[in-house]
Amino acid sequence: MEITESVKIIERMMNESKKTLHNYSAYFIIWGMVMAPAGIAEYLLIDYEYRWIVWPIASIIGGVLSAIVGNKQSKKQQASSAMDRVIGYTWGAFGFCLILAIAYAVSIQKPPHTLVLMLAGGATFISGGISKFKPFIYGGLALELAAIACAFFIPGEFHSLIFAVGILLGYIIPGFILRNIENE
Amino acid sequence: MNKLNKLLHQELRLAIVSYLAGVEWVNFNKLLDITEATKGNLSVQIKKLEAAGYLEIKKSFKDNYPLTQCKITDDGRNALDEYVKDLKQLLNMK
Repeated sequence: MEITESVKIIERMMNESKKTLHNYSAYFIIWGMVMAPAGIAEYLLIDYEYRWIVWPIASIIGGVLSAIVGNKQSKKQQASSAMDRVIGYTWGAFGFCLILAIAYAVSIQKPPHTLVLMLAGGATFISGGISKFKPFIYGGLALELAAIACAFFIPGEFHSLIFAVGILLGYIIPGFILRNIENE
Repeated sequence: MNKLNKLLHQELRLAIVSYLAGVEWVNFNKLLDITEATKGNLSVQIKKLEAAGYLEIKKSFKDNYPLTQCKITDDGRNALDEYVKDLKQLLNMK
């Protein structure tokens, strides 16, 4: 074998291995399409005492749909990269911190939007950085800006609306951009 | 040319190790797909790489079907690094 041929094989295979990515878009789209309407619903139900009910409902729907997609994908999965593992750990840590943040917010009787946006922004930003996918980097920044707005500038009654906008910019739009790329 | 690792200086084995350097593990069927090799030839070559300590092969069952997964070892990764280094030297000499 010629040495130039060796170089070509190494390049081709390295490029092939970079294509070995999970289809992450489905999770962003599912959670975005569940959480953004939940935020809008909470805003519309502002006079209703039990408006918080939208969050457990949305979480259950999102969790069930994600589990179905995850199960299907794991059956089809043929390879795994270090990036898959890092992204998996990032979102695992996010899930744990999310539960903790919501429990803490409930215990101090404060709405959890700011903390949730902050955590989601961090995990989205890291996912974008690791996968070099700019829409997630910008999406993560949009979520952090929404968190800052909720924390310091926007009155509490509008937090669920800001939350919905953050999720639209951070999850839904980048999720659909990624899905188009995955389908190419 | 003498300096190059003879085990890696073969089209299919080099392709397998180069691909595995970029992933944590891969199924046998995926390797078949990307290398476009025959089942028999791919089996023989991954066994040679395993014997040299460059690959780990894990056999199991998934949904009642046999599943073979391959993973590069540290020795395999080092051997590929050395091979690329030697290749660069040879290319500079040309």
